[in-house]
Amino acid sequence: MSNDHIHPPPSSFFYKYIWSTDHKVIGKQYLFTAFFFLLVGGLMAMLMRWQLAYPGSPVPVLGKMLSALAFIDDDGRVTEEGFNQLVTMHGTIMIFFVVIPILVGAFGNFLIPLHVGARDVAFPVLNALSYWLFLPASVLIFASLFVEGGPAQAGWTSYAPLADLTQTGFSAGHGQTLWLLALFLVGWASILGGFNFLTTIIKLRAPGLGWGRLPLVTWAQFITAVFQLLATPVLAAALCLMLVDRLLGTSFFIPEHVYPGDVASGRSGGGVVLMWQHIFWFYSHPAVYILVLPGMGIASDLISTFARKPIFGYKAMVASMASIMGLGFIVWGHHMFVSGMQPVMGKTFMISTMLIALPSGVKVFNWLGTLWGSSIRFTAPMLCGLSFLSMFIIGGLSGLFMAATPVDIFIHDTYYIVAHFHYIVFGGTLFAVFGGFYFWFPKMFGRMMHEGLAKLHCALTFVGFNLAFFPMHFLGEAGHMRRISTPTEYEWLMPVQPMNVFISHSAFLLGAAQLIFLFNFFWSWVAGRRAEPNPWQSNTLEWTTPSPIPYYNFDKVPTVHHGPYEYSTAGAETDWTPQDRPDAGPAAGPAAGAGKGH
Amino acid sequence: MYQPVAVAAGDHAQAHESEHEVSKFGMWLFLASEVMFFAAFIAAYVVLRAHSRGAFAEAARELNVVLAAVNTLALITSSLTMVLAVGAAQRGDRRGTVRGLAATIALGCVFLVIKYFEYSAKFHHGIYPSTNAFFGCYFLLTGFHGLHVLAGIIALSILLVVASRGVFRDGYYTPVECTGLYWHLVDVVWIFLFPILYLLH
Amino acid sequence: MHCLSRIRSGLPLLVTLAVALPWGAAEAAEWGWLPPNINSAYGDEVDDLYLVIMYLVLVMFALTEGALLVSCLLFRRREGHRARYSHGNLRAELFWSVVPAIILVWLALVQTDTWAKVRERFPTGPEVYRVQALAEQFSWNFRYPGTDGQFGTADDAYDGTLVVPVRTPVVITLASKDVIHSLFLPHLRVKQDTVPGLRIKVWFEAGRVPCWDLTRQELALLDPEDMDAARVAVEGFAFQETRVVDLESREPWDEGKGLWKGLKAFAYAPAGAAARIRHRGATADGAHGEAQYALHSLDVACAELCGLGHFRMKSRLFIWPRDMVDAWMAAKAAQGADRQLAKKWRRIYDEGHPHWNQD
Ligand code: HEA
Ligand code: HEA
Ligand code: CUA
Ligand SMILES: [Cu+2]
Repeated sequence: MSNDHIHPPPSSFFYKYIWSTDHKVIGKQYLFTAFFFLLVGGLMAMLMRWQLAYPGSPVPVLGKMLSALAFIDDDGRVTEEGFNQLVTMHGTIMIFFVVIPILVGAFGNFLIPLHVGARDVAFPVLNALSYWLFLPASVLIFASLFVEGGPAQAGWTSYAPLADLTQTGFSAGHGQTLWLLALFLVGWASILGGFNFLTTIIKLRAPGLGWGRLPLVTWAQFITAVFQLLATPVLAAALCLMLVDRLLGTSFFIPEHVYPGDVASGRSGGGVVLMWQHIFWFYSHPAVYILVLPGMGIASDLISTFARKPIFGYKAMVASMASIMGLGFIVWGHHMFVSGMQPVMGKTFMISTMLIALPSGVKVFNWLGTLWGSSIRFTAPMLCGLSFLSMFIIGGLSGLFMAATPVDIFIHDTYYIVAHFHYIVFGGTLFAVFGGFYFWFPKMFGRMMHEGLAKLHCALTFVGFNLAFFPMHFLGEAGHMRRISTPTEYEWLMPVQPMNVFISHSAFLLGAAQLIFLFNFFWSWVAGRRAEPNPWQSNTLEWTTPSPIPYYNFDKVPTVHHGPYEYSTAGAETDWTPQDRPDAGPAAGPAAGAGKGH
Repeated sequence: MYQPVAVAAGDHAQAHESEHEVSKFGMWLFLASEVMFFAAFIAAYVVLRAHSRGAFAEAARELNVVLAAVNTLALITSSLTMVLAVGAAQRGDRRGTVRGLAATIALGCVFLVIKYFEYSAKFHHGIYPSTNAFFGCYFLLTGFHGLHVLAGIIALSILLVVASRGVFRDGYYTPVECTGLYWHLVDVVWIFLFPILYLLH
Repeated sequence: MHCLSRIRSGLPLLVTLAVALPWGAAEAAEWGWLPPNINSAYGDEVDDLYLVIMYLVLVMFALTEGALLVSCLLFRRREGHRARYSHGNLRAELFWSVVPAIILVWLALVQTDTWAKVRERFPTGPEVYRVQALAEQFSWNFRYPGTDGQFGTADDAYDGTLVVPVRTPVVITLASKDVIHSLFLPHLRVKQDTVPGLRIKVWFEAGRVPCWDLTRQELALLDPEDMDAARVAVEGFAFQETRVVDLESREPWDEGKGLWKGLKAFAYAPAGAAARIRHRGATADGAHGEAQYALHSLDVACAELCGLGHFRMKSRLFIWPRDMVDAWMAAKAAQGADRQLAKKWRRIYDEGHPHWNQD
């Protein structure tokens, strides 16, 4: 395409930064919003940890400052009600307003067009619209912290009838309604993103960029987008059902003979309580793979780049991601083993859940295969990538205990579960996010981040994280329940209370370590070393553009000649071979799917 | 919405062709998520029905099958007029496009007006979404479907204005075709809703 | 800040794996991996499964993390050395797909029978002890058939605590009045949600009797045949919470080192029983003899977030010799239920039409 086809970049501030249709700007909009929420959600975790270690005593420093909020009383204590609100909002914010927006909204938006060699996504205006649905949702969820009665408090899973029936004395306020509305908007933002990304990857690949030459990050985004497209509408439907239950008095999730506070519910009944859980988990189980697949993609790129070695078993890596998605749709029942679902269904869900460990294992072994015989550069992004790998293994393996139905009976709804998923979403995904951020920061902002601070951050986070979350397995084994504000209420939990104290202190260390990241981010943005186009000697297409990337990415649409991971090719001059370099001779990588009809 | 500049490869003519292709592809994907959205509602309906079969059959008798049948006819016909509109746009036939769009809009309005009368008759008899599980499903399913019809009518009206200015020519008719796809989906959803709500006793 | 760049790469990994995990394991071992298990019906089977998975996972953990660590040490970048160019190895990939597949399928199959035992095959017959549970915000209600063995009759016994005989299969039917709760008996490995609109059964058999060791101030689980001394008729079951150690007055974190040995002590017991046993055996210094035990009870918790009072929705579980239970039941049944309470039960159990009733 000739260059005169390119529109000039917008010059007004409004079109450049606010209503921008540039995928890079939208990515950054998502990034900043999500980082803000990371602080909010993280701070909430700190408050929870304080309460769990020292139940009923005022939170030092922060307590008084935050006493205007619903969950803190005037003396700076976390209230009993407040604890539930904190758990709920922490989970909701971290999943829907931090991790998904960063992985998909920020990294997806930023990287997909670059990786396929396109100038933007297929539908740039819809892309902007997606952010502008996400932002009001963020405002709603944030505003719910301040409404009368406080924010939602029925857990991020919002089980009916607790969240549904306004007379349960628990969700009478507007908090729960705002929660539903916010998630509904976030859902449609995701769907818009999903079909946009799919169209971009399928239709806008540069010449020569066959399916076998896509970087694994982009493959992960592709598979995630399928998830979003097909599973998110189901969540949206469930949210609608609960909304009409709350607002119009229908009884989708409310059976007859329900007497909250000994008074008849006043509903017609006829609803089915467990239906909420089925629909919710039909979405939310695949959603946990939305939380990890892009992280796996990022980790693959980091590991291959810094190991200076092609990724081991590229096709198997793609196939395993695809089968994680496929299986992901038929395992939702493993969240419901003790819910009162028919026991026979427990068995089938157990088997499918066990099987999902298989593709995950293939990925782990292939990453290890990539590292074997490599030449590792221990940069900050690589440290994060390796942390992802080691933490994902722990989180994944603990999943097997829960997949075993008889064992899950005991550990369900205990801190064992909390340990499991924090190992994956924090130990896994957030490490991948940090790594990806250190890696692509030069492309995003044109400067390098401070490597020493980055390593320090990674190390402290790693240590703090493990000290905080590993002992949670022991809490879980002791039967320590989730979502209880005062563990000292129970005799059999007495012996483990010191562990709660230890965990909280480690969590504060973990939180403090994030301040380094925050500082490094802003400092490097302003004063970091200017980045050259390809500081990590990496292969994929984004590194062929200047840093920071110009408005239309590529002034000439690149032609792709290799797979993304041609490192240390025999006979090549350098130990890397950019995807658009035509001269690599015979070792042109896996010819798989080379070229594509356009 | 689609900016041709984002097309990564090909000369001018190709870019134009794949613009059409890309938009249509995106529309199909969007429809897939719409299908999942309605599928979830229908699944909820099936579950609730399985739990109180008798009550559902009884409540369904309250509905007006004749009006619904007329509505079904209206929607099916409107799909036909939509096809005509798309064909005309493809040929660059301005008057044909406008006529087809106008007919589709009119039929959509007929559908909504009848729905309005159905709803108000129900309210008049004191039947609301909260009356029982069946009417919860009924109002929810037909309500969301109605909203989709309304959105379709708005989109078609915009197209009507655009079409009357003669924009759709020289093989450019992407918006008409994409809106057409959407309209057919709305139609198909109704084809499912009609029997499960009105006919199943 | 320059020196920061030199941080050894493997360091954080090593520090954590070397310090945190063994520390945690040691700490956990001090009080046992899991709470004492007194479910003699399938408790051991469940705990064994847990251990099987634990060993399997530990092997996998050691293999994968070990390989990662070794790679980091062996393959750090050296001058003039290039990585080995390779896109994979089909044989290796087949190996590590097939072997885990076999392991996982095996793992899934070995537990189906335990699951069936726990959730599908309920004990039947006259010796089964039946209880109904009704969960509400925020308390547990239990109904016992009384002396006639029938529910819904005038001699039903109602109580807020769960009283069951030792060495007897117990079947509890669960229902909820308002929202989802979850009956959690940690020492019996029982957990089951109670769902409005459903009636769900759980079962277990308690093998030992929880007692409080008065000298050592800790929980003791006694075999019923060893505790004839406790088989005294107990009249007037005044259930009092006797807190042996008052927790409110002590700041938990003041205890400092290790685990709270001394603080484990809540004793909830029928006041009469506790006093009686203490009287029978206590010597002047209270140092030995069976009389050092008082009958004790175990925690009953609600494991599902159910509202504001969720974390306080607890009850006590008493496991007694059969004759004691019978005596208690007779006394309770004679008390009957007040109208309010009876209405609660009638509305859910006698008039409610559950979607799914396991009975
Ligand atoms: C990114 C998020 C993420 C990911 C990837 C996973 C992955 C897995 N999860 Fe997890 N899960 C959550 C997030 C996630 N989970 C969350 C948030 C919850 C709680 C929700 C709530 O209630 O609030 C949860 C809860 C949850 C439950 C419900 C527990 C309960 O409430 O009682 C179960 C039960 O089966 C489960 C299982 C699994 C399994 C088997 C995997 C597998 O995919 C893991 C596979 C990986 C491995 C196994 C490791 C690597 C493999 C090898 C090294 C190969 C060799 C291994 C062997 C042969 C053994 N998870
Ligand atoms: C991606 C998801 C994600 C992430 C990243 C986290 C991060 C953390 N989580 Fe989260 N968590 C969830 C998802 C997540 N969580 C979910 C889904 C639940 C279940 C909710 C439910 O039950 O409904 C949950 C529940 C949950 C619980 C269980 C509560 C309970 O059931 O009783 C706990 C308890 O310790 C906890 C702790 C933490 C901590 C300490 C962090 C830390 O890693 C946070 C560290 C980050 C920061 C601290 C941010 C940086 C902040 C600053 C720089 C500000 C200054 C810092 C200080 C003042 C120290 N989480
Ligand atoms: Cu009842 Cu928690
Ligand atoms: Cu899951």
